Amino acid sequence: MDKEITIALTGNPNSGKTTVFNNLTGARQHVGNYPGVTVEKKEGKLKYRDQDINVVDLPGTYSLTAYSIDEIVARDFVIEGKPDVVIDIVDASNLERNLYLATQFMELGVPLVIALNMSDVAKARGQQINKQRLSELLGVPLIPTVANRKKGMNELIDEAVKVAEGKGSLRKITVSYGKEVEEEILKIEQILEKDKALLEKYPARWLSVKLLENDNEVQKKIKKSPYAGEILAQVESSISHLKNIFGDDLELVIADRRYGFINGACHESVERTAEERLSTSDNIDKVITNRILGLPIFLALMWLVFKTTFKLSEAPMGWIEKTQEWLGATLGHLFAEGSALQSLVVDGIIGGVGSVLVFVPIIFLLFLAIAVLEDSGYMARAVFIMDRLMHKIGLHGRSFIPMILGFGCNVPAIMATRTIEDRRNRLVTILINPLMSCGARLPVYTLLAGAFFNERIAGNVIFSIYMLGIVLAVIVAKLFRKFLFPGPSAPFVMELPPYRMPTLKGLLIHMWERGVVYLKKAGTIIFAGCVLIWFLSNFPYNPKDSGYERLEKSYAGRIGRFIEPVMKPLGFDWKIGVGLVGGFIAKEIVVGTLGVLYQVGEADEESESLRAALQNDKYPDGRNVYNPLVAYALMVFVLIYVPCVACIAAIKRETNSWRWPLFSTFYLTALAWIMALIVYQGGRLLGLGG
Amino acid sequence: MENLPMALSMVRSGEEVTLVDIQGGFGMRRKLTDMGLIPGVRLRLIHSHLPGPVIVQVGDSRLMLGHGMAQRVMVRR
Repeated sequence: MDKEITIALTGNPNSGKTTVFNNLTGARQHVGNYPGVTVEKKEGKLKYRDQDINVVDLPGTYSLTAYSIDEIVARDFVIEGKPDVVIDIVDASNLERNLYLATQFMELGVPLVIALNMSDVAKARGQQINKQRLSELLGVPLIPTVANRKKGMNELIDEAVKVAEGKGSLRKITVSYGKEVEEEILKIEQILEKDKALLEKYPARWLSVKLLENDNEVQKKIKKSPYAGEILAQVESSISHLKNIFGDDLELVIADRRYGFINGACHESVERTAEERLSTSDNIDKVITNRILGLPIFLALMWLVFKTTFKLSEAPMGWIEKTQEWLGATLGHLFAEGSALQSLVVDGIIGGVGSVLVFVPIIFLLFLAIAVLEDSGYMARAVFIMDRLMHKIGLHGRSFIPMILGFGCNVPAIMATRTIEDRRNRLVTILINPLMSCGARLPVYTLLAGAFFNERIAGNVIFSIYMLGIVLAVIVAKLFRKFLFPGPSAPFVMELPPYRMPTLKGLLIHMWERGVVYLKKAGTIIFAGCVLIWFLSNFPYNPKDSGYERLEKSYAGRIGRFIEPVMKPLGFDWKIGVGLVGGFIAKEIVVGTLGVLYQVGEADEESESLRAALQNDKYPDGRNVYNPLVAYALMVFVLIYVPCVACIAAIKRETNSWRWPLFSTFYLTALAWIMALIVYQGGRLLGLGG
Repeated sequence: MENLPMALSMVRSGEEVTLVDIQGGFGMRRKLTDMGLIPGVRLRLIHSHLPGPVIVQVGDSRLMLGHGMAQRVMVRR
């Protein structure tokens, strides 16, 4: 049996690369990170005719310049990871632009196979591609595929294995940059020849072209060479010579020649039989991106997404709660009644982790709905529609998808900011993301709104909290953009993919990728957090104490008392303080902690007994602890204050420093305090509450 | 004057124009070049929400240029 072959998949965004990857590897995928950067590295295994194959899905890029981290990662992997073969997925219906990336792989001299994907779409548009001819002109084997119908996958692997084993038969072709440029490339190549070690890793021609293109990363590599001085002197003289001929636009000349080469190849091999006509995508776009209709359609879709998500998740949430109760009761019998161990297992672990698992249906369904919007091509239009509005707060349309994801769980939302190239925009988007009220905060609102507002307005009360989060995010973004990260917003350009019918497999994989982040959080941080909170609220342990007494004397109780003076102006007593401390681990823990404090046992947001306990709780002087005003102030506080531990960890990971997680903890808590104070004290001045 | 260069953000939906120049830094020009926006290429305006963003057809691909970007791409009718 042969040794394992490594295939690197590359291609433009929207070329169908992910679908090909999913087809090839199925569920045997592994997601990691490239060392030192927050770019996802997806790998998968497959077996083809007794041959073990490892497929690496490189980030989708338009080019291999050093413009973005994705491109550098893709390039470095191909050069340094030495895959046996690179498959470039090319969108056949958008051939010329897609081949631009292919020309750069050709230049790198790597074993290459081109998958001519979506060849059905190209055909439907009246384009006849002579594959044989195009393949000869490019010097690369060409395999037609239709990834979303799994066509051509075997042929593709077959060809890739052949090329990997060195059985490719085509003559290598290089893009010619014209006499003047070629002369200079030759001069640089001659000096590069001296550094044998360097040329073992990189082709001389590629290095020369990149140096003429002023590529920073390549310059850095050259500076380490013993011949650096000589090489760079030649590059400088070559550039100034060429600038005399072409003016300042040397890189444009090089890019132009690449496109020229592609145009030439396509001209000889592609026949357009039909006139360009308005495609279905065009017609849909006329309505959806319409200046007047665009926004209402978008809002209606969002409303539909949230409505169906919440509706459909009701039943599975009930099942999870039932299972959790059953598990608690069954396992509880295994331990001595009233022992610390029983309490740890039943209240701490099952109760705590269960309160998080309950949200799995909501979060997965929301991510599924978002995957539908993304895979069908609508999300790109939403970015267009929102660009104008986002621009007003100093961000651009791209910041908008992470905001929507935030309503599910802020952790994958913060990870999704990776698509924002501009650093300042990305940081602001990360910092305001916790203000998008995640699924975990909902049970707190449901409990409080259910207990203190009558049924008819409870829904609107909760809605107003969500809206408050959005309004605050807008204000905070504007302020941060003005004072913390001043400067114009980096202009952006993105491709609008044609509308497509999403595949079920693709949708499920997308949903899973994001949802699993939440599951992991439940399994690790929240699990540890629940145990910690349980410890703090039960120790020092005295079996004779009632739950309430125990909590009052516990470390958590002491913390609650200690912060009570700060909480007092907001209308919160020490018990609320304890609950809020627990919410630092995960916001849904607030409900569980209150359940323990009011001795109602297994409490959730629907629990009548907990609602009644809250309604009847009184201060020693007989005043009610809660009233609608206090409840509202508490909801506002829970909306805004410290992001949960998992969220802080995500901010740390994505910004690569402790500075921003600490900053967001501080600013959000301060903002929460101020907002709750305004609500409570303002409300009292207006004569609301008690 | 009909043929003076103007910003892409000023072009109306449905018009066809030729890209003349990109007024921007190194990174921005390269990014646009990579996506097929090079001087001399023909652009068809699909949608223009004055003053940006715009959606243009370039060859077979459809690109959206944000507000700021559209102002720096100079075109000619």
